[in-house]
Amino acid sequence: MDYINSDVGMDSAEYKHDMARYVWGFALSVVLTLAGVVIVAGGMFSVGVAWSLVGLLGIAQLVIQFWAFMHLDFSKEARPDLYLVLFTFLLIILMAAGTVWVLADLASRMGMGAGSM
Amino acid sequence: MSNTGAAHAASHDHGHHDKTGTVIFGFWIFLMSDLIAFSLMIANYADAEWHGIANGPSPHELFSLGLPTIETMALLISTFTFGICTLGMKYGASMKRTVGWLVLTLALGAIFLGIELYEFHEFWTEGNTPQVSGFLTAYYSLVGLHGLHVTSGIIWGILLMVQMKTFGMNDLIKSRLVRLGLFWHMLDIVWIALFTKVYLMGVL
Repeated sequence: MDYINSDVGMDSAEYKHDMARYVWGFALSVVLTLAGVVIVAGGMFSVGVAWSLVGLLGIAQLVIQFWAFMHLDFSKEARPDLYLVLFTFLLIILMAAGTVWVLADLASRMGMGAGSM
Repeated sequence: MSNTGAAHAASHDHGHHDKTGTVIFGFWIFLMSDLIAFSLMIANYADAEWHGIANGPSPHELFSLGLPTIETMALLISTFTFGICTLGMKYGASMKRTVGWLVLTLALGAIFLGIELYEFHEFWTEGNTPQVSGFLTAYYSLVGLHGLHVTSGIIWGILLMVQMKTFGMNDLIKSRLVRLGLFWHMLDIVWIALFTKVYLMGVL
Protein backbone atom coordinates (compact mmCIF):
# COMPACT_ATOMS: atom_id res chain seq x y z
CA MET A 1 0.00 0.00 0.00
CA ASP A 2 1.41 3.37 -0.98
CA TYR A 3 2.13 5.79 1.83
CA ILE A 4 1.21 8.93 -0.06
CA ASN A 5 -1.30 8.13 -2.81
CA SER A 6 -4.49 6.10 -2.86
CA ASP A 7 -6.40 4.90 -5.91
CA VAL A 8 -9.70 6.00 -4.38
CA GLY A 9 -11.10 9.26 -3.02
CA MET A 10 -12.34 10.62 0.27
CA ASP A 11 -15.83 9.16 -0.18
CA SER A 12 -14.46 5.61 -0.27
CA ALA A 13 -14.87 2.90 2.36
CA GLU A 14 -11.08 2.75 2.71
CA TYR A 15 -10.94 6.42 3.73
CA LYS A 16 -13.69 5.91 6.32
CA HIS A 17 -11.92 2.81 7.63
CA ASP A 18 -8.64 4.70 8.02
CA MET A 19 -10.41 7.67 9.60
CA ALA A 20 -12.12 5.37 12.13
CA ARG A 21 -8.65 4.28 13.30
CA TYR A 22 -7.69 7.93 14.00
CA VAL A 23 -10.99 8.63 15.78
CA TRP A 24 -10.58 5.54 18.00
CA GLY A 25 -6.97 6.44 18.74
CA PHE A 26 -7.93 9.99 19.68
CA ALA A 27 -10.95 8.99 21.81
CA LEU A 28 -8.99 6.33 23.72
CA SER A 29 -6.08 8.75 24.25
CA VAL A 30 -8.39 11.39 25.74
CA VAL A 31 -10.02 8.82 28.05
CA LEU A 32 -6.66 7.42 29.21
CA THR A 33 -5.20 10.90 29.81
CA LEU A 34 -8.21 12.04 31.83
CA ALA A 35 -8.25 8.75 33.78
CA GLY A 36 -4.64 9.43 34.82
CA VAL A 37 -5.51 12.97 35.91
CA VAL A 38 -8.55 11.76 37.89
CA ILE A 39 -6.48 9.08 39.65
CA VAL A 40 -3.83 11.60 40.69
CA ALA A 41 -6.22 14.48 41.57
CA GLY A 42 -8.90 12.27 43.15
CA GLY A 43 -6.60 10.67 45.71
CA MET A 44 -8.73 7.52 46.03
CA PHE A 45 -5.71 5.20 45.84
CA SER A 46 -2.55 4.92 47.91
CA VAL A 47 0.50 6.56 46.32
CA GLY A 48 2.00 3.19 45.30
CA VAL A 49 -1.18 1.96 43.62
CA ALA A 50 -1.83 5.31 41.92
CA TRP A 51 1.79 5.41 40.68
CA SER A 52 1.43 1.95 39.11
CA LEU A 53 -1.97 2.71 37.57
CA VAL A 54 -0.77 5.97 36.03
CA GLY A 55 2.28 4.17 34.63
CA LEU A 56 0.13 1.46 33.06
CA LEU A 57 -2.27 4.04 31.58
CA GLY A 58 0.73 5.86 30.06
CA ILE A 59 2.10 2.67 28.49
CA ALA A 60 -1.37 1.77 27.17
CA GLN A 61 -1.61 5.18 25.54
CA LEU A 62 1.84 4.80 23.93
CA VAL A 63 0.75 1.51 22.36
CA ILE A 64 -2.57 2.97 21.16
CA GLN A 65 -0.92 6.01 19.61
CA PHE A 66 1.72 3.93 17.83
CA TRP A 67 -1.15 1.83 16.44
CA ALA A 68 -3.60 4.61 15.55
CA PHE A 69 -1.42 7.50 14.37
CA MET A 70 1.81 5.82 13.24
CA HIS A 71 0.10 2.79 11.65
CA LEU A 72 2.10 0.26 13.62
CA ASP A 73 0.45 -3.17 13.58
CA PHE A 74 1.15 -6.78 12.64
CA SER A 75 0.43 -6.24 8.92
CA LYS A 76 3.12 -7.11 6.37
CA GLU A 77 3.60 -3.43 5.40
CA ALA A 78 4.29 -2.37 9.00
CA ARG A 79 6.59 -5.31 9.82
CA PRO A 80 9.95 -3.46 9.33
CA ASP A 81 8.69 -0.50 11.38
CA LEU A 82 7.46 -2.86 14.10
CA TYR A 83 10.80 -4.68 14.35
CA LEU A 84 12.63 -1.34 14.47
CA VAL A 85 10.39 -0.07 17.28
CA LEU A 86 10.68 -3.31 19.29
CA PHE A 87 14.48 -3.26 18.95
CA THR A 88 14.52 0.40 20.01
CA PHE A 89 12.48 -0.39 23.11
CA LEU A 90 14.91 -3.21 23.96
CA LEU A 91 17.76 -0.66 23.80
CA ILE A 92 15.76 1.84 25.82
CA ILE A 93 15.04 -0.67 28.58
CA LEU A 94 18.70 -1.68 28.77
CA MET A 95 20.05 1.88 28.71
CA ALA A 96 17.42 3.76 30.74
CA ALA A 97 16.96 1.09 33.42
CA GLY A 98 20.74 0.58 33.53
CA THR A 99 21.31 4.31 33.99
CA VAL A 100 18.82 4.56 36.86
CA TRP A 101 20.29 1.43 38.46
CA VAL A 102 23.90 2.64 38.31
CA LEU A 103 23.08 6.15 39.55
CA ALA A 104 20.91 4.84 42.39
CA ASP A 105 23.66 2.40 43.41
CA LEU A 106 26.19 5.23 43.35
CA ALA A 107 23.92 7.42 45.45
CA SER A 108 23.37 4.71 48.07
CA ARG A 109 27.14 4.05 48.30
CA MET A 110 27.66 7.77 48.86
CA GLY A 111 25.21 7.67 51.73
CA MET A 112 22.51 9.68 49.99
CA GLY A 113 19.87 7.43 51.49
CA ALA A 114 18.66 5.93 48.26
CA GLY A 115 17.68 2.59 49.69
CA SER A 116 19.01 -0.82 48.86
CA MET A 117 19.52 -0.91 45.09
CA MET B 1 -6.87 21.22 -8.43
CA SER B 2 -3.55 20.32 -6.92
CA ASN B 3 -4.27 16.66 -6.52
CA THR B 4 -2.41 14.34 -8.84
CA GLY B 5 -4.93 11.67 -8.00
CA ALA B 6 -5.59 8.12 -9.01
CA ALA B 7 -4.21 8.28 -12.56
CA HIS B 8 -0.92 9.60 -11.27
CA ALA B 9 -0.60 6.92 -8.61
CA ALA B 10 -1.49 4.16 -11.09
CA SER B 11 1.01 5.37 -13.67
CA HIS B 12 3.89 5.17 -11.23
CA ASP B 13 6.32 2.37 -11.61
CA HIS B 14 7.36 0.26 -8.69
CA GLY B 15 10.74 1.96 -8.32
CA HIS B 16 9.21 5.19 -7.12
CA HIS B 17 6.99 3.47 -4.60
CA ASP B 18 10.00 1.68 -3.13
CA LYS B 19 11.99 4.91 -2.91
CA THR B 20 9.22 6.69 -0.98
CA GLY B 21 8.92 3.69 1.32
CA THR B 22 12.69 3.64 1.89
CA VAL B 23 12.82 7.36 2.63
CA ILE B 24 9.99 7.01 5.16
CA PHE B 25 11.64 3.99 6.80
CA GLY B 26 14.85 6.00 7.07
CA PHE B 27 12.88 8.70 8.83
CA TRP B 28 11.58 6.06 11.26
CA ILE B 29 15.22 5.24 12.12
CA PHE B 30 15.84 8.92 12.92
CA LEU B 31 12.69 9.02 15.06
CA MET B 32 13.81 5.97 17.03
CA SER B 33 17.25 7.46 17.68
CA ASP B 34 15.48 10.59 18.92
CA LEU B 35 13.30 8.41 21.15
CA ILE B 36 16.43 6.86 22.69
CA ALA B 37 17.79 10.35 23.42
CA PHE B 38 14.49 11.31 25.11
CA SER B 39 14.33 8.12 27.16
CA LEU B 40 17.84 8.71 28.52
CA MET B 41 16.85 12.29 29.40
CA ILE B 42 13.91 10.79 31.29
CA ALA B 43 16.24 8.33 33.08
CA ASN B 44 18.45 11.28 34.03
CA TYR B 45 15.38 13.19 35.23
CA ALA B 46 14.17 10.20 37.26
CA ASP B 47 17.49 10.10 39.09
CA ALA B 48 17.71 13.88 39.61
CA GLU B 49 14.17 13.94 40.97
CA TRP B 50 15.18 11.21 43.43
CA HIS B 51 18.61 12.39 44.61
CA GLY B 52 18.95 15.91 43.27
CA ILE B 53 16.41 18.08 45.09
CA ALA B 54 19.18 19.81 47.17
CA ASN B 55 17.60 22.84 48.89
CA GLY B 56 15.12 23.44 46.08
CA PRO B 57 11.47 22.45 45.77
CA SER B 58 10.39 18.84 45.22
CA PRO B 59 8.22 17.94 42.18
CA HIS B 60 5.30 17.60 44.58
CA GLU B 61 5.73 21.20 45.74
CA LEU B 62 6.41 22.60 42.29
CA PHE B 63 3.86 21.03 39.95
CA SER B 64 0.08 21.23 39.65
CA LEU B 65 -2.07 19.42 37.10
CA GLY B 66 -4.31 22.18 35.67
CA LEU B 67 -2.17 23.81 33.00
CA PRO B 68 -0.24 20.65 31.98
CA THR B 69 -3.57 18.86 31.41
CA ILE B 70 -4.78 21.63 29.07
CA GLU B 71 -1.35 21.55 27.40
CA THR B 72 -1.65 17.78 26.91
CA MET B 73 -5.13 18.09 25.42
CA ALA B 74 -3.94 20.77 22.95
CA LEU B 75 -1.15 18.47 21.74
CA LEU B 76 -3.47 15.46 21.60
CA ILE B 77 -6.01 17.33 19.47
CA SER B 78 -3.16 18.55 17.24
CA THR B 79 -1.93 15.00 16.57
CA PHE B 80 -5.50 14.06 15.58
CA THR B 81 -5.88 17.05 13.26
CA PHE B 82 -2.53 16.16 11.63
CA GLY B 83 -3.91 12.65 11.10
CA ILE B 84 -6.93 14.11 9.28
CA CYS B 85 -4.57 16.30 7.24
CA THR B 86 -2.30 13.48 5.99
CA LEU B 87 -5.17 11.05 5.48
CA GLY B 88 -7.05 13.56 3.31
CA MET B 89 -3.87 14.23 1.31
CA LYS B 90 -3.43 10.51 0.62
CA TYR B 91 -7.04 10.18 -0.56
CA GLY B 92 -6.85 13.19 -2.84
CA ALA B 93 -8.13 16.15 -0.78
CA SER B 94 -7.65 19.64 -2.23
CA MET B 95 -4.54 21.56 -1.24
CA LYS B 96 -6.74 24.17 0.47
CA ARG B 97 -8.16 21.52 2.77
CA THR B 98 -4.75 19.98 3.49
CA VAL B 99 -3.23 23.38 4.29
CA GLY B 100 -6.24 24.24 6.47
CA TRP B 101 -5.77 21.18 8.70
CA LEU B 102 -2.01 21.81 8.82
CA VAL B 103 -2.55 25.42 9.94
CA LEU B 104 -4.93 24.24 12.69
CA THR B 105 -2.39 21.62 13.81
CA LEU B 106 0.46 24.13 13.99
CA ALA B 107 -1.77 26.62 15.86
CA LEU B 108 -2.55 23.97 18.49
CA GLY B 109 1.20 23.28 18.70
CA ALA B 110 1.75 27.00 19.31
CA ILE B 111 -0.87 26.95 22.11
CA PHE B 112 0.96 24.00 23.68
CA LEU B 113 4.25 25.87 23.45
CA GLY B 114 2.71 29.06 24.88
CA ILE B 115 1.46 27.24 27.97
CA GLU B 116 4.84 25.58 28.45
CA LEU B 117 6.70 28.90 28.21
CA TYR B 118 4.20 30.48 30.63
CA GLU B 119 4.93 27.69 33.12
CA PHE B 120 8.70 28.09 32.68
CA HIS B 121 8.28 31.84 33.24
CA GLU B 122 6.22 31.27 36.42
CA PHE B 123 8.76 28.86 37.91
CA TRP B 124 11.64 31.08 36.90
CA THR B 125 10.21 34.24 38.48
CA GLU B 126 9.50 32.32 41.69
CA GLY B 127 13.27 31.77 41.89
CA ASN B 128 13.13 28.16 40.73
CA THR B 129 15.80 28.50 38.06
CA PRO B 130 17.84 25.57 36.66
CA GLN B 131 20.76 26.45 38.97
CA VAL B 132 18.75 25.69 42.11
CA SER B 133 18.98 21.90 41.97
CA GLY B 134 19.80 18.92 39.79
CA PHE B 135 16.08 18.21 39.63
CA LEU B 136 15.31 21.64 38.18
CA THR B 137 18.21 21.37 35.71
CA ALA B 138 16.83 18.02 34.54
CA TYR B 139 13.28 19.42 34.40
CA TYR B 140 14.15 22.41 32.20
CA SER B 141 16.39 20.24 29.97
CA LEU B 142 13.87 17.46 29.44
CA VAL B 143 10.72 19.53 28.99
CA GLY B 144 12.68 22.23 27.14
CA LEU B 145 14.10 19.66 24.68
CA HIS B 146 10.57 18.54 23.89
CA GLY B 147 9.53 22.18 23.49
CA LEU B 148 12.41 22.69 21.03
CA HIS B 149 11.09 19.75 19.01
CA VAL B 150 7.62 21.32 18.90
CA THR B 151 9.19 24.62 17.80
CA SER B 152 11.11 22.80 15.03
CA GLY B 153 7.89 21.08 13.95
CA ILE B 154 6.06 24.41 13.67
CA ILE B 155 8.89 26.00 11.63
CA TRP B 156 9.09 22.88 9.45
CA GLY B 157 5.32 22.99 8.86
CA ILE B 158 5.41 26.64 7.82
CA LEU B 159 8.31 25.96 5.41
CA LEU B 160 6.41 22.99 4.00
CA MET B 161 3.35 25.18 3.33
CA VAL B 162 5.59 27.57 1.40
CA GLN B 163 6.87 24.59 -0.61
CA MET B 164 3.28 23.42 -1.27
CA LYS B 165 2.40 26.84 -2.68
CA THR B 166 5.62 26.98 -4.72
CA PHE B 167 5.88 23.46 -6.12
CA GLY B 168 2.30 22.15 -5.81
CA MET B 169 1.31 18.85 -4.26
CA ASN B 170 3.81 16.58 -5.98
CA ASP B 171 4.91 13.22 -4.58
CA LEU B 172 8.03 14.63 -2.94
CA ILE B 173 6.00 17.25 -1.05
CA LYS B 174 3.50 14.57 -0.05
CA SER B 175 6.29 12.36 1.27
CA ARG B 176 7.64 15.35 3.26
CA LEU B 177 4.20 15.97 4.75
CA VAL B 178 3.93 12.30 5.76
CA ARG B 179 7.35 12.53 7.46
CA LEU B 180 6.41 15.73 9.31
CA GLY B 181 3.24 13.89 10.37
CA LEU B 182 5.27 11.00 11.80
CA PHE B 183 7.51 13.52 13.60
CA TRP B 184 4.45 15.27 15.05
CA HIS B 185 2.78 12.04 16.20
CA MET B 186 6.09 11.04 17.81
CA LEU B 187 6.12 14.37 19.69
CA ASP B 188 2.76 13.48 21.18
CA ILE B 189 3.94 9.98 22.13
CA VAL B 190 7.02 11.43 23.88
CA TRP B 191 4.82 13.99 25.63
CA ILE B 192 2.60 11.21 27.03
CA ALA B 193 5.71 9.79 28.69
CA LEU B 194 6.74 13.23 30.00
CA PHE B 195 3.26 14.11 31.24
CA THR B 196 3.04 10.76 33.04
CA LYS B 197 6.53 10.83 34.57
CA VAL B 198 7.02 14.54 35.26
CA TYR B 199 3.54 15.82 36.09
CA LEU B 200 1.24 12.93 37.07
CA MET B 201 3.88 11.05 39.08
CA GLY B 202 5.41 14.34 40.26
CA VAL B 203 2.16 15.57 41.80
CA LEU B 204 1.51 12.19 43.49
